[in-house]
Amino acid sequence: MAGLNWVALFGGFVLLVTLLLTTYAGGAAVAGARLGSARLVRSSIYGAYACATLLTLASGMIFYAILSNDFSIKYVHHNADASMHWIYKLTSYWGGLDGSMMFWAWLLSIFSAIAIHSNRERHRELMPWVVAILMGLLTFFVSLVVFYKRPFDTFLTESPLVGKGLNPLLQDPYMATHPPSLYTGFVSAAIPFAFGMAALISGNLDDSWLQSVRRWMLISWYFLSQGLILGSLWAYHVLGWGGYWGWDPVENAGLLPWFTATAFLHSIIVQERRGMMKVWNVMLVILTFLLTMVGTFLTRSGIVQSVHAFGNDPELAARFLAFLGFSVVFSLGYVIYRLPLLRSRGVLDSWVSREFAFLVNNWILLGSAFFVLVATLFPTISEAITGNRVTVGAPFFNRWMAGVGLTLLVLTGVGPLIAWRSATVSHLQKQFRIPLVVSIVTLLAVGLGIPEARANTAFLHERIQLPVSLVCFGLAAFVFACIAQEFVVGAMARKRNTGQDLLTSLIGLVARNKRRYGGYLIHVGVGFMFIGFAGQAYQKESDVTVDRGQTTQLGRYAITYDSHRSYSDPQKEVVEVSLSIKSDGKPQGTLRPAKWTYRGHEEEPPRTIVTIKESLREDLYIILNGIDAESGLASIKVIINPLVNWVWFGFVLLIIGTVIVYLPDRLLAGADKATPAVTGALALCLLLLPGSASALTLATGADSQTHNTTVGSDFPTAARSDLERDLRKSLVCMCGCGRQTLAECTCGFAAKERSFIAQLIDRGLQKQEIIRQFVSRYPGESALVVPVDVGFNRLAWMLPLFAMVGAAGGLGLIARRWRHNSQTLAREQAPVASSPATSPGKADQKYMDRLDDDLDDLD
Amino acid sequence: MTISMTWTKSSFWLVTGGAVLLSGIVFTAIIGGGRPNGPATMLALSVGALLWTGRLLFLSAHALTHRGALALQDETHAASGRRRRELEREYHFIKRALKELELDHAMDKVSETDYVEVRTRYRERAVRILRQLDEGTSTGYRALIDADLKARRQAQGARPAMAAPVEVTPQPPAVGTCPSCTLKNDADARFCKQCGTQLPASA
Repeated sequence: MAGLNWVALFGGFVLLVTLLLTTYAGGAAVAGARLGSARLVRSSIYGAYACATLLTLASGMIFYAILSNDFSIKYVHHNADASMHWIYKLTSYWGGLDGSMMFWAWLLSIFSAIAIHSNRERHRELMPWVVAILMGLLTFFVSLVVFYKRPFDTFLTESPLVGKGLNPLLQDPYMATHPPSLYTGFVSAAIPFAFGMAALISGNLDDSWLQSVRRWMLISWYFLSQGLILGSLWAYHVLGWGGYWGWDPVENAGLLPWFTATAFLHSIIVQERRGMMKVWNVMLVILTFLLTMVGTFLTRSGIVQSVHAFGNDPELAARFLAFLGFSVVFSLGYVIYRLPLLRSRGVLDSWVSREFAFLVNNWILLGSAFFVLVATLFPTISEAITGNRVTVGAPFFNRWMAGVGLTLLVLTGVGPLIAWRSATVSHLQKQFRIPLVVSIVTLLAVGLGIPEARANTAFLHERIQLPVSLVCFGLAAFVFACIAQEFVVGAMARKRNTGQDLLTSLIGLVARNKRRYGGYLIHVGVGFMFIGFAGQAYQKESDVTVDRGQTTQLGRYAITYDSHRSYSDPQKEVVEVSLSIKSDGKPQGTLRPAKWTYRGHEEEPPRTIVTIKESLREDLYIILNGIDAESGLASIKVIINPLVNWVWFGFVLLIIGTVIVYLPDRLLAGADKATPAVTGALALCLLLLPGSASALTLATGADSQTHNTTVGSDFPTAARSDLERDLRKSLVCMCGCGRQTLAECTCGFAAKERSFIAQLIDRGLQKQEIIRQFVSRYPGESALVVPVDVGFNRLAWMLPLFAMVGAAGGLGLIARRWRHNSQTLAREQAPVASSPATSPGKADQKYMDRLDDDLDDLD
Repeated sequence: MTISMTWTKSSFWLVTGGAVLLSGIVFTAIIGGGRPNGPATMLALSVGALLWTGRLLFLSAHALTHRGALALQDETHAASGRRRRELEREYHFIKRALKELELDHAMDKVSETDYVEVRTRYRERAVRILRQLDEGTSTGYRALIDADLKARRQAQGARPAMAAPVEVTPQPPAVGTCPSCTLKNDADARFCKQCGTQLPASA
């Protein structure tokens, strides 16, 4: 067994060479920029390219080692085994901590090479600094895998013959695609950062660099969205707790940069159009990057508890924190140093204008990022200060984010309709008449037609109960009407100008204004997602224990337990029940929820195989909690999740919108001249794009109505009373599987805890007493889902409030200053306006004509 | 450099492709006993990455020793190309902005006075760019490039330019022209968008 492992040796060597090269390329770039030496700069650019090929080579070595089952390499042994499908073997490259860092470096090197190559002529003056920043970053990550988290380490003594294999939960198509999406989103945010810093350092702060950066930010934003949605799909289909978004720290880590990237994609429009918000945009680029680093840090440091944190590693945490601190000081320091160059004269002509709508949108998004960051870190902060680790669970987030989400939803509709500079009252009336009517009609129709939709949910505080979902439906309808109106009015305006028919005008409109109308489509997608989020408010669930032949009823579904069976294959042992489903009396086929126990992972809780009967109206979601081998009694959990598919559908629209924004101009140039059949086919192709399903979630705390058919057995799983259900929902499962409540967690530990609660209830204790008894067994109040509103914890409750008030104050101040600017400008310009300087000379007429010709060509 | 490298680049792709294919066959024979398999594919692809690494490292080192007239030519060529592209891009951008403004106007999203004002501003800027592009071949942006190159060389503290035949005739500074880098800015600009110098007040 002993002897040299040449693959590991070579891989390690390649990483070392990469480290030397990143250092050289970074150094040469800085020297080249300082000395004005084109040779050094060119050399550093080739060096940066070579880093990408070197890391590709090292990745090739890892892939080779995994595929050839080389278990003498520790990383391969920990994350792969011979029986895995080759695709999952490939994904185990980023399945562990060491590999994920190297994967990160690999992606960064490739994106750097692409960004440098495509901009090397366009932004010559920025290039050396871009190379320097990117290589600096790369040096950090490569040094981690060279000195600290070495993926090529081998066993010194006897090496094992079999691998441990990737965690079975991760061997899933969603999990194969979710991390690369998220990593792509994270890493591509480094490119805008590098350009932003290069602009700051070199002082070339005109708008041109932002143009190049916008595309990268859009890539980053898109992949973050995709990563978040794939993660949600995975949670929903694989984890089996019945939901798709639980405000887990790792989910939040992906959401934080998503907020700021979204803010940037909006505020950049203001800079393009009005030349305002320069400092702000640079800040957003920097913040987005820093938040991706925070996200990486959170998932790998072990300072937050999470379902899929990479483990507890204080030393790595310290290194990351040091790097993060340096990045913050360095980048913000440069922003302050360059403030005089960045200062643009913001002019706000009216409070009712698109500029102001963008400003509000930005403040809310940034506020959300701040809130989510603080709430995610609050347990850590509270532990550091008071010594007690509290839990900030999903209900807390939902209460606060519901309001924020609804405000954003309103802006999604209002923003596109409102006029630049200044909107008049008559303009507002004209624009919003139809959407408001549609919104109110929908509100009434849904409210009267679907009584469930009137369900109240907690808003900001437990005591404030509002029909948030109903409002959400009304607002979504408002958004759809606003956007539809934009399309129709735009197409009609174009029809008047070009004389084409309405459909051709519509296609031409979208093709000529890809960014705008692609963006609107994304807004519609977001509206659909919100409908899905709102559906969560009237989710129904039931835990039942049934005997063979018995039927349980939930909502319109009747579920009959027919039979059970167990079998095994080389990879796992399977226990499965067969349930026949009827809805409104009509047979709907059979569902077979199961439990899989993987060989070699017997000590872990078995994997829950979720079965879902999907429809646009609702999902019937059934999981098997357990089965009693002797009696054959099965304990199942049945959930009716209304409108979930609308979330995924919204994401498909988001993909289509992004593709439209991204399509090259020339591809769409003749779209409206082609026959309708061709355009139809094109549209169909777009619709059929692989629609796997971002999530700013409103997933409001489930106010579920449960219905039980308990068969007086001693199965702990079925909640027998409202009290028991309440208790399960307000207590966290402390098994270490994350922060799921006792109502959600499917592990064995949770089952014991549930029976403990049942015992306490049987003893006749009151709710508060039970909670006290339960919580006292764990340090602090960590077993509570939402921190109690007393003492230091009050800070968790107050902070969002402070943030909101502070943000509103800041917003008002900026807007006032801009208003003031506008008034002084008006005074200054008054005499200038009458000067004859604006009349074009004779020579200019030639150019004016050419411009008109060019503009006509553009049609 | 860039021109002479074009040929070698495409032929290098061919060489890489050939090497990957060949090593793929060899590795498949050795590792998989003739059957295509993952490890052999990975090794073959790694050979490609290795070859490219070698080439890029060579180019990186070669760039350091690359000197003389060619470098300067490259720079001038690139600078003029860059300036031209920049102007064209800006022109394209303004055309789009004008179109969008017209659409906004047609959809009644901007007031009439606003529309006229912004449209006039955009059109003036477009005409200015067109003129610069046209004059590019004679004096216009040729002069700009020379000024640009001169500034760059001065910044480098290097030897004076080999030849600077084009004398920039001092024109009366138009409104918005930057006193430092001669770039023409918008009439209402307060700072130069190229170098950040404060512009003399208009009117």
